[in-house]
Amino acid sequence: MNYFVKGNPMLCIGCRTCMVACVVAHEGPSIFTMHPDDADFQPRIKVVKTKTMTKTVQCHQCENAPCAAVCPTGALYKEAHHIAFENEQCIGCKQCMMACPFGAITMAAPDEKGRRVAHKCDLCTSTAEGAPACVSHCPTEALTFYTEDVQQQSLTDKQVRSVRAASRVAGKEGV
Amino acid sequence: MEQGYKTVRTVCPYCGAGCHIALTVDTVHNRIVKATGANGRTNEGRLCLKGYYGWDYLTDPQLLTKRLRYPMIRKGGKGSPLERVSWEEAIQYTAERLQAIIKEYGPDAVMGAGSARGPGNEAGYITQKFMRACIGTNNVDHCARICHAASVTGLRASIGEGAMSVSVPEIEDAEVIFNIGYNAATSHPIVARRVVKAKAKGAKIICVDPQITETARIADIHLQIKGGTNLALLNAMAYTMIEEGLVDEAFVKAHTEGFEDYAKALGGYAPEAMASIIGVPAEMIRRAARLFASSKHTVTLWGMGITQFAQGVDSVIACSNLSLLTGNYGHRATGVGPVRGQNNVQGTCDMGVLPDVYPGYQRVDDPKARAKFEKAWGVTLPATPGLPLTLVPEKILRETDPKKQIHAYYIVGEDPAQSDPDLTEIREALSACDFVVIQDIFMNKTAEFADVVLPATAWGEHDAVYSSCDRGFQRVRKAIEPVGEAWPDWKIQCAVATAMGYPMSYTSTQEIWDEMRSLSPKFYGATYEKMEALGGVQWPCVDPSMEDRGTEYLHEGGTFATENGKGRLLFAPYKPVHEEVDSEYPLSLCTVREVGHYSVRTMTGNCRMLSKLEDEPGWIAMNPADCKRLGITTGDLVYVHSRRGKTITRCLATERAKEGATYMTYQWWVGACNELTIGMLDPKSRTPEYKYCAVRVEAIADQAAAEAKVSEYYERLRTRMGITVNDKNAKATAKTDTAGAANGTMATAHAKAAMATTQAKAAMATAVTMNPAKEREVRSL
Repeated sequence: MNYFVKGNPMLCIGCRTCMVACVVAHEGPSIFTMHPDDADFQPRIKVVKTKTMTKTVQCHQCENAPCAAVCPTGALYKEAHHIAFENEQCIGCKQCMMACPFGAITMAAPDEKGRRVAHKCDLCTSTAEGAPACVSHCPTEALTFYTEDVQQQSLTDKQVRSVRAASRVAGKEGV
Repeated sequence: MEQGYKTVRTVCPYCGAGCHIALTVDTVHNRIVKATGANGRTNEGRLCLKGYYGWDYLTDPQLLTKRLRYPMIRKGGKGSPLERVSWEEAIQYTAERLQAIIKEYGPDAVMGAGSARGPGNEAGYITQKFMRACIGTNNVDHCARICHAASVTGLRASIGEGAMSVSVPEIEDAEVIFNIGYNAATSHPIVARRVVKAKAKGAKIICVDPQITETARIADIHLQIKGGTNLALLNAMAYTMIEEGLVDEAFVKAHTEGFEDYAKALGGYAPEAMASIIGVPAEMIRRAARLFASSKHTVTLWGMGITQFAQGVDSVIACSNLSLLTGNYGHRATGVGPVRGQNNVQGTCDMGVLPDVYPGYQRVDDPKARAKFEKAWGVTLPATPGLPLTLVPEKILRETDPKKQIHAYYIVGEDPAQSDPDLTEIREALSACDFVVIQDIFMNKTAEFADVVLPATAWGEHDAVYSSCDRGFQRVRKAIEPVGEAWPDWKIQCAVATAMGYPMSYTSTQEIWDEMRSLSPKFYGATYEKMEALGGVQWPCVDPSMEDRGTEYLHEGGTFATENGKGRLLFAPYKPVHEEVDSEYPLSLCTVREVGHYSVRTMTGNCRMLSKLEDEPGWIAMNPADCKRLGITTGDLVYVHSRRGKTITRCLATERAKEGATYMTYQWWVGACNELTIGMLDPKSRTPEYKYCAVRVEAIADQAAAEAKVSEYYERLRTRMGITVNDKNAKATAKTDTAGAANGTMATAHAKAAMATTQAKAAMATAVTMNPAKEREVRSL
């Protein structure tokens, strides 16, 4: 199964450290020494606030990813554990952006050659961090990186909880 | 570690959370390359965006302003350009001017402001020693006056000690959190971490705030009060506790005094009588009171939403009253937390950079304390408290007796021309002051009025001790060599003192620290060695032996720091805010803060990533209904007017703001909300009423022209700060995204931003130097 990052709105304080962490991870340490205007600031995760919710929006690495399905050039495709993106293949048609139900795919700013391509979370596989920087940098631990193990553990926890709830209903708590 | 790199463990320079940071330093290029969280007591390895990405200002990228590298003097007097001089000349000149003013008008004609930011406690100690022992006045103060002075004054009256009684780690073990006028998510993300953790562990949260903050969003009870009614609410809650028998009678009897009078005075504060004033139903107020009283682990947290009102002190006392009534003092995970904003504002109070106390909160009007300091410093000291800094404009502009005026203002690491209320008046005062000295790391708005500008070392360039918000002394370490000719703040003031004939000389910060400890019983046990060994020491710590590891929470067992050990239940009646809205100014304005920016923004405004996340001119958050009435949407530039001034900012339509209420962050230089705020002061703490004034928002028809003007003004500001602006680094102010914006109408904002960027860039004007006195005209752009 694909890995993915998910935020918990009960722990999220909307500080956007994740967004900066994303940029820094993908741009590398030179971002702090280059001319300030040369640094691109294009986070692949976004904090969205409504009246009573604060939550991150990022790629879910869908199993049946609509972005990959609609991509006419194969620039988006399934890798071992995520939906990968091949920059060179992208023709900038924006089909993926339209197809993604979460708004997690955006279009990157033009590169030096003026090319514009799709822009999405790669779980930091392309970065020196190796694992999602948004997760490791979140001050409140509101973001979780759901690897296979974490997904399994989360399921197990919920299953045990539901059985406990059932025993309470049956009046056998503690039995 | 790779060759040419080293790791330096220190404490973050932003906010009072006191997070430990491990810096990776490139020693060849003399720069920090990375920051990671270290395992500190308060942060447990976690940092927020400012800690992780807020250090590249040290290398002077010149985004907003420029590092000061050498001393400068206006040789041709006021209005002439600043000229580079040697340290020797700068020190001599400063000393002579100060001496001349003292000779003519006396020492009380000099005012000193210390810094609650980078310099640290040793520099703070030197600042107040310089003012008291060398100048001969108690006229020394710092920015606590405009933030938590009300907490210090109020809590000292209530329980004898002005600091947080509870520690940051204890917050997550609270059963009830009473959060009033405090937005931890934007002020202290690492404290907010404890709040959300407490919630996850089952704590109930009561949040009192006119806007829907992140804490309000997860609260069990959110009292969305009308701004400025804190005291009405707190009194109504106390009334409920007494009426419904929720009072811890044993605690009140054993540990407090004044209950009878207090209870009687509360007579008129039934929630039913106050509900219409407060703007929330009476039953909700009663429910909040019941929940507060339901636990002995109720922690009260407050911030500027309590203190920055003309009734700040009274509201602080009223908060403390609730804890006294319910027995919520004196054990773990209970009590009060006035959470300090700046990294060392607690420390600057600890060091006595206040007009009424010496280091360790020993009063200047206590003859015994004074005699001790007179002996140690070898001088006669003034016996009466000095001037709070918020009274400086009055003492310059409206005092008619020249002998009673302030003629010299020595400002260390502050920028009153950005941070203080009613900026028009501040600029007039600074212009009219005979002699202004600025000692800072950056060129700033106040420096434009300075006669002398002295370059100091920044956080990262010197050793120091900071006090975290919960009384924790922690070591701060030098990571890189300073820029240019900058000196540590303490060294500069020692040199000026010596030139004035009062020799002050130290070889290290530890030497200063040890002198301070020897005079301050509460801090005597907090040695450098102990801080090193334990990572930090929370005061009181009285014994230098390792047995005394400091104090996690105050008032153990309900013994308070008052003379008789009892907490005082003190009543104060609610009074409405000073400037209510009316037909001419129909919206209320409350100043708030931006999470990625800090204080007057000289530091974070020069950090690449933090500036990319949010930049000028900032936002005015308003309810969509108010926006609709004005015909404005998210992203629009708007003018905001008050009786005192006018500024330009961007509309942010959000349901998190109540109808009729608006919010602006005080960090912005272009969209400077202190052009609007009111200089109305709390009579006891002299803290300004930043949190409430009346404003009017005006839509701008020609958005393109407004965008161009904002960009032009930004460039002018940068030029005035000494930056050479060219096309390459001309800054576009337009927002390209409203990601953090609450409920933003994204599509519109995008379209506007795209248009604005293009036009702003096209209209980028050649930089023009400007006389600061013309600031007012430019303001009317």
